[in-house]
Amino acid sequence: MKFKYTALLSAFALLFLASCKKDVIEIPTSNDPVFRVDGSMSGGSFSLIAGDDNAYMHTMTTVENGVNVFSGKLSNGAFSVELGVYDGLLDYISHEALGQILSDNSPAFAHSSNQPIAELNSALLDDLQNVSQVNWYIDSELAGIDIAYIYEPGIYEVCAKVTFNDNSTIDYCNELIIGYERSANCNIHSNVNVAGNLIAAIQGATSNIADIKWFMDNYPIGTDINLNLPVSAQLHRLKAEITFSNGVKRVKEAIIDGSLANRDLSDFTIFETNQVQVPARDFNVKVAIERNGKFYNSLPANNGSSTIEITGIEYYGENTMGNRVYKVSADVSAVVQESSSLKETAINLSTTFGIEIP
Amino acid sequence: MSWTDKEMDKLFQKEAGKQSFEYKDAYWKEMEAMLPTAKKGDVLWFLTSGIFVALLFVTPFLGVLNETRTAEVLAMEAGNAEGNTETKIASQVESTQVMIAENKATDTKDSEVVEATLTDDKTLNSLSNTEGERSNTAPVKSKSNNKKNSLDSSTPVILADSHADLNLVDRKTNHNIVDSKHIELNNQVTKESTLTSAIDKKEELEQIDVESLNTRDVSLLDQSTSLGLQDITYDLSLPWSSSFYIEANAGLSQSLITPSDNNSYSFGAGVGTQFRKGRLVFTTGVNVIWSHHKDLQLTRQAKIYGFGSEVVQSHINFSKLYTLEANLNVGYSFGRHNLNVGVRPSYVVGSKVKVSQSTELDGGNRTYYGFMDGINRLGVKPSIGYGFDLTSKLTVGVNLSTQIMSSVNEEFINGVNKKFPIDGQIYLRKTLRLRK
Repeated sequence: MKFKYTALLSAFALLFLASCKKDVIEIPTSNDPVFRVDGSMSGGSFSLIAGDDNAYMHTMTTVENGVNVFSGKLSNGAFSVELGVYDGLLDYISHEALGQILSDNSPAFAHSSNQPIAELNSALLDDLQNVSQVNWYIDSELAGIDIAYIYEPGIYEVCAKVTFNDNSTIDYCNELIIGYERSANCNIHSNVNVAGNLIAAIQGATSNIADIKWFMDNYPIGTDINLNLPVSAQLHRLKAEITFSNGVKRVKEAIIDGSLANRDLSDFTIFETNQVQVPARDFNVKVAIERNGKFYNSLPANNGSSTIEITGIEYYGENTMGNRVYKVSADVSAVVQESSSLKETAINLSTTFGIEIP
Repeated sequence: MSWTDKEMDKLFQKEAGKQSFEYKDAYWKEMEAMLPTAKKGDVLWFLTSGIFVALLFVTPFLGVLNETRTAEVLAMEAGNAEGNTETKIASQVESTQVMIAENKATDTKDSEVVEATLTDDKTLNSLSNTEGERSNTAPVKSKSNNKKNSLDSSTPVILADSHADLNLVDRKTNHNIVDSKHIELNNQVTKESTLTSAIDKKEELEQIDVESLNTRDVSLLDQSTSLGLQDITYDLSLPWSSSFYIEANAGLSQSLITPSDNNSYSFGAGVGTQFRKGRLVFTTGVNVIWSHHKDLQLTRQAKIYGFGSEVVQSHINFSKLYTLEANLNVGYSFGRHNLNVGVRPSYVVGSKVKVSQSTELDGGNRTYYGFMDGINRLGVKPSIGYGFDLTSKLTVGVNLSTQIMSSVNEEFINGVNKKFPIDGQIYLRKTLRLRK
C-alpha cells in the first residue's frame, strides 16, 4: 500500500511541479492619454491630446538668457501649447529645481518688458579719467559702446573691453545676474599703494563668506579675505571667487594698475545693484500658444492677476534624450499677447503636461 | 542649495495626499458590474472532480479489504451467488475447481504460487484465455472451459501459488519443463504424475481449501453468464479487487472554437487504478495531456499613449495546452472486451504560447509558458469507450467524448466556443502487478 500511495503522490507532485513554470506575457493594453491640454481661448474651446491627430508631447530644457527653462510643448504642427518653468536660485553652486517647483503650487507668471532692466554704463566704473572707450559684450556679442542695456532677466557673461587714453587696452569679465534673486553679493575693493603693494578685500558681503580664492591674471595668489602683496607696474586682472556660507558662489573681477597710473577699474557689481526693480523670475511660468499661424505668449501680457494652480507633479519617465520628465497637472488662467497685433487674449487651460526637469 | 531626500519625500507626500478626484458611489457599481459572475458549469466540474478524488483515495482501501477477506466471506458470497444462478455456478465451480486441482499445490499450508505447465496447445489456449480474462475479472464461458480444461492425462502439472493466481509459463518456452526458479523459490512445488481418471480429479477437488480461491477465481465462476440485471446484481455481490495501471494515449479533437477548419491532436500519459466487482470495472485515473492547437489565437490591438502614441498589435497563438485530465468511468466486461461510460473532468494547468508583436522592441516572435488569459481551465467530458485486452496486462482502447464546458473565453480568443466538440482518444494501458 505504501508503494501505491507513494507512486500516486509522486505522480501528482511531478505534475504540479511541472505546471509551476509560468511566464508572464506583457500584452500591451490601451491606456488613457497621458498628456493633454483642454482649454478655451478667444471664446472657443480646444483639446490637444498627445498621441491623437499627430500631436506629440515634446519635452526639453531650453536656455533663455543663460537660464534653464524646463519646458514642454504639446503640438500637432498646426496647433501647439507650450509651458515652461524658469530655473532660479542661479547664484547657488547647486540647487534642486524640482524641489523648488514642488514647493510652490501657485507659481507666478514670468513677465517681460520692452524697457531695459539694467544699464551697463562705463561711467559707473571707477576712475574714468584715463578711459577712452568701453566696448560692452554680453555673452560674447557686442551690446554697446560705453553704454549697453539688458532687457530680459538672465544670467549674463558681461565683458568690457576698455581702451585707455594711452591707447592701452584691457578686457575683463563679470557674471551678472539680472532679474533673478541673488542670495548673496559682494564686490572687490582694491588699490595699489605707493609702495607698489596691492591692498584688496571683499566688501559689502550680504552673507557670511565661507571661502575665497584670489587670482591675479588667472594665477592663484591667496585665500585670505584681505590681500597685501607687491605687484608689478602694469595692468592686472584681479579675480576673486567667493563662496558664501549659504551655498552661493560669485566670481568678481576688477582691474588694478600696478604702475600707479590710475587705471583701476571696479567689478560690475554696481550694475546688479542698480538694476530696475522687477519681480525675480525664479521658477516663474510662461505659456506660449501657436494657433492658426499666430503666436501668443504670456510673457509680454499683463498677468498680474492671472493664476496657475499646479494640482500634481509626478515622475513620468525619460524622454528620448534620456532626461527625466515629470507629469505636471495644472489649471491655468492667464492672458497671452498675440505677437503681431499685440492684442491680449484670455486663456483657460486644464492640462496634464510633460516637463523635463533634469 | 540642495534638497535632502527627506525634504523631497515630504514634498511628494504632501502632493500625493491631495484627493485628485471626487468619490462617487456610481464608480463602485461600475466596478461591481465588471466583476466576473460565477459560472454554472463550474459546479459540474467540481462535482465530478470531487467524485474522482474521493474514488481515488477510496480505491486503495477497497484493495485492502479485498486482500483481507476471509474464506468464510468468500464462501458466503459464493453461496449467495449460488442462490441466484445455482445451476450455472455449480458447474462453474466444478470446472474451475478442476482447473485449480490440476494445479494444486501439494503443500496447501504455504502455497503461494500456482503455475501450470501444459503440453497441450489447446489447453494452453484455454488457460491463456482464462488468464487474460481473470486479469480483467472477465468471465469465461464454463462450457468451453470445461472442454478446454479437460486435461490430457499425460500433461505434467506443477502446483504452487497461494492465491491461486494462475500464471502461465510463456508458450514459447518449453511447456513441459518446470521453471526451475519457481521450484527453488517454492519448496512446496511438486510435480504431479499423470492424472488417470476424472474420479481422481474430483476427489482432489473436494480437498481444495476454499481459502485458496481469491476474487479473481470466483469471478471466473461467472464467465458464462449473460448480461442482465441479475448478473449485475451478482457482480455487485462479488468482492472487490484493484490494480494500478499506466497508460499512454493519443487523441484527435474537433476545434474548440468555431469557425475553424482545424483539428487539434493530443498526446498523453497517465496513471490510475481499476477496481473490479465481478464483471464491473471501475476506473479512476489521471492523465497529463499535451494538446496541440492551431487556431487558438488571441489578437490584441492596443493604443498606448505616452509622449505620443503607439498602436501595438499582439498575436498570441496557444500552440499547446497542458491539461490534467481525470478519468472516471465504469465498464462492463465481455470476455476480453470492455465497454465503459464515464466522465473526464479536466484542468488546464499551463500553456505554450507563441507571441508576436508589431512593436520592434519586442524583437519578433517569442515563446512563453503558462499564459492562461483566454483559456478556461475547467472542463468536463462525458465519454464512452471500448477496451480490448491484448494480453492479461495490456489493454488497448478507444474513447469518444465531448466537451460540455466552454473551453475558451470568447472575449480573448478569435472565435466563439464550439458546441460540444468531439474528441477521440486511443490508449494503450498496462496493468501493474504491485504484489509479488
